[in-house]
Amino acid sequence: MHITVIIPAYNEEKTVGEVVKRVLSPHPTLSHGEREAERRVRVLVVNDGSSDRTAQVAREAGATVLSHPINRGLGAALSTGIEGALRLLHNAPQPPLNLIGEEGGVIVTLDADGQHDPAEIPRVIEPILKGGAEVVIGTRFKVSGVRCQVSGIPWARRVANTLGNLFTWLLFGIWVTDSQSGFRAFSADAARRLRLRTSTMEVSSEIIREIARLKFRFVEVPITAQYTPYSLAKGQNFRRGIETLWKLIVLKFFR
Amino acid sequence: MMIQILISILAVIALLGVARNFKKGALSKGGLVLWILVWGAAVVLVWNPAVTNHIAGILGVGRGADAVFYVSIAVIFYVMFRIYGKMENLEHQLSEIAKKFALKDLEK
Repeated sequence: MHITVIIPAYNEEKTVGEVVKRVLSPHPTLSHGEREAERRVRVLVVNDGSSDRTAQVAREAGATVLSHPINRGLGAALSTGIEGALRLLHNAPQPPLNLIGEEGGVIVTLDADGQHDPAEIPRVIEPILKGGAEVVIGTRFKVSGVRCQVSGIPWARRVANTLGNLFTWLLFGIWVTDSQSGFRAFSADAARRLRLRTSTMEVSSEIIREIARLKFRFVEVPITAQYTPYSLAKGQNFRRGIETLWKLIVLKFFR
Repeated sequence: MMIQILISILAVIALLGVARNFKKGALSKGGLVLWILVWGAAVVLVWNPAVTNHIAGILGVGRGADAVFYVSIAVIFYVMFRIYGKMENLEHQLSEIAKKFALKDLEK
């Protein structure tokens, strides 16, 4: 049973090492009654053309690092990460299709800025391990009436996210409470069928589109998000939000 | 008279640039013909606006100047759309190259 955690990182030398270490450190909930050896966790950091020591820091922390020669954006990094994870899982670009679910492993994506808690990975991948879902999206907002920890999330982020959700729903027909979340999990089989074309932030909504197109069974799992001044300075802003929206419309109507 | 002279000068400058690009091989024969037609038409129309009224009549638009306006906007949108599509393709191809490079790290 392989769990590959993909962490796209662009100039994250300050946080990526800590994130990698926390993913790899044996956590009490990760074993979940099983023997640790049965679950092998591998961390794949996609260094998206960073100009700082991101790659080195990540490698020293124990991650496998794939480096883009130039900065290409979140979408490109995720696409590289997924392809790399699948190759590592099966050592072949086209593995047999009967390797699904448990056998084929699980692919997790996580932000490098430290806003996600790696200790929550077991909870996020559980629906896939139990066979109830092929794709999981970690949501910072409520799931089936239960409100999660929303307190730490800045007001502007919430508005932006609601708009993101609304447009994702209008364009792709699926309602999710956190369309822009970076904490996700895929069964290897689902990951293999994803066709991601976009290079930047709109990839989050493109993944939702793929869920709709491929009719994946998918659930949302509540997660917590730690916002620090650091993580707020990175990530989305208003101008990029507008750009993302425009690209989503292009994605919907011109592809 | 001002606008006629201005447009004519602009056309000459633009066509000199086009000719230079063609000589360098940066522009195809088709492109050369297209740009000569575009600027030629601009010069003809600005010196002889009555032609636009004729075209407007055919298109069913009231005034010649309006016809020029509508057609220009349509052409600009079309060109913008083409460029946007090409840019998106380039972006994607660039990402594919970056991916190929990155995945080489696995083979080591």
